[in-house]
Amino acid sequence: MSGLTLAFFGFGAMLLLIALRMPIGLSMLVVGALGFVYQSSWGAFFSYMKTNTYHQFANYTLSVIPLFILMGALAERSGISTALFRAAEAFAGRLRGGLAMAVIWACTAFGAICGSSVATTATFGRAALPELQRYKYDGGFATGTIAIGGTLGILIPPSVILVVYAITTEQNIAKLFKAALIPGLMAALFYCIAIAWVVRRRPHLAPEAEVHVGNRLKVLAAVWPVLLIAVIVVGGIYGGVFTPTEGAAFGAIAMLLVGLLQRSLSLEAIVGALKQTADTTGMIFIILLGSEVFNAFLARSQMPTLAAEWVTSQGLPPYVVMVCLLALYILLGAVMDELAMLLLTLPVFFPIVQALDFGLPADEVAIWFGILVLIVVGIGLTAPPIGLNVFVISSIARTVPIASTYRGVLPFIGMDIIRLGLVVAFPSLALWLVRVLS
Amino acid sequence: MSQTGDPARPQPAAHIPFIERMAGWIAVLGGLLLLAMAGLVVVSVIGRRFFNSPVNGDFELVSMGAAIAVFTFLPYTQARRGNILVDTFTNWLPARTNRLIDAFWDVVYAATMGFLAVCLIDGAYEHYRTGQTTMLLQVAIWPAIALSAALMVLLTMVALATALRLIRGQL
Repeated sequence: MSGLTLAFFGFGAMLLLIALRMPIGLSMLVVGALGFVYQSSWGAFFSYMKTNTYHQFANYTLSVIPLFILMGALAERSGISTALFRAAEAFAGRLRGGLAMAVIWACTAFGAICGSSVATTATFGRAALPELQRYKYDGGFATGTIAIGGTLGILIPPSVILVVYAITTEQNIAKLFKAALIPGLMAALFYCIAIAWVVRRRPHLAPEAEVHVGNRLKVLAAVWPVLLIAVIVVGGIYGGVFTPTEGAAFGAIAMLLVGLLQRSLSLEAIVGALKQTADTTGMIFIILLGSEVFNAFLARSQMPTLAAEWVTSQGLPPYVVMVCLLALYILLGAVMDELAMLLLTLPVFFPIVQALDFGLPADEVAIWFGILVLIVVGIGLTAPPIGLNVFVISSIARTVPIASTYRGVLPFIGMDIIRLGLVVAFPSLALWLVRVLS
Repeated sequence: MSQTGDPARPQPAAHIPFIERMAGWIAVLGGLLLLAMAGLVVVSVIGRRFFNSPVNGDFELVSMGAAIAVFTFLPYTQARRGNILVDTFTNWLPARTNRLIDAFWDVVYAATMGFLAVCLIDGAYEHYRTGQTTMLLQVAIWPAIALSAALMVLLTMVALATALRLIRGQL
């Protein structure tokens, strides 16, 4: 069997096993291992795996992932999401649909300390949903807003997805974090425009309410330490004061100290945060391990190189290829887990993108593509039929049918597609800040 | 719907076997180790910025500590059955059939992780024999790999325990 046939066979087998409920990381690991053995021998695989698991995990760059997850888990349990929502409510609450906009801005701020969309969705499901329901916001509109707000957890740096992208494609994490900022803030702005548009057309979704805004200075006083941590972590990484790992470590320790000083973190909450970190990290690292083995097999089959050569030899305009790849990502993201999708496709897609000529230096294309991938991942997290954020909010808001949440999310997805088009057409939206700050 | 580290997912019910509860404690220990590593990094950064004296080789210690922390997390993730799977195509099957399928994959998971544990034991022995150390601090690497291997053995046992519970319908 030629390497190429074997690679296609491997992909097919893996997808079949995944469809048969085999955990994704395990199926990548097993198929990758069998392919590896078929191409060489058991002996070669055994000596490859001897210390590979350890050395893969003992990677300084990778340690940023558990540290960012820990920082987010501590933030989630310190009740900061409620305080952020109160603060945003104090500023936007009186506008029509203002509470929904407050969710978006609070998620944006929370996204700067949390790198996970699931965690952001869950925490605002608890912090903001009761308030939206109290003011008689429509169920699907409220849950849809929180589900899309949750994606800001990864759209605003730090972002676990970007770290995974950076590691898989060997790009600079700090540069990706810089590139993500403007498109991330655009997302928040666009979501607010969507909210304004939706409530204008269908005012009954968000009844006008005398929202008690409270003392704006007082609510800001409750959130400034956390906002300061976010600015130091992200700013420090931007300014090169520290590496992403150091930023994450600083953020985790600072969150812990603030939580202890404000007495918002009990011992039980800290243990809970550690356990949540363990659960999420374990899930991510099994997929990372599986993809490592699968990619070792794929690289030996030379399929990624051949695929890139084939695509470039077709003479298609680069932008057509890019649009096709992104469309494929949106389709895959609708039915697949986003992290696994990236780890499976990047080894093949990334060389293709690198081989195309967009009139930009190769490293800028890599950064730009990372941001485009981040946007499609955000879409995948909320798009039917399999949108992880929607499942998370549905498990919290059991009275709202899942179909209503999907309907509520649709206008936001429309905005995401517009934003995706803008960043495709104007790479500077992502690259400008990278150029200015370096 | 895919299963993930969704914080809203309920904790497993009572009658949790000892081995799975142990996985929980060990994960918390691993979390504390991760916090300690974070503390070390912060001390090092402060030392470097303000006193011009970073912690020597913090890099190596953090890589090692974070790796061990990740190995302590894996058994807990399995105890919570937190590994992502896609159940879209099998949801029409009776619940009991799906439980048996899951139990089967848990056994495959146990076998795979058991194999990796054996690989790691061999790797630890090799590092011990050749006396490999980290570059700066000259810390021996083999104990860390041996500890990772032990945690992979624990993971294997946890996966077998969850398989058993799935078969018995306790999960």
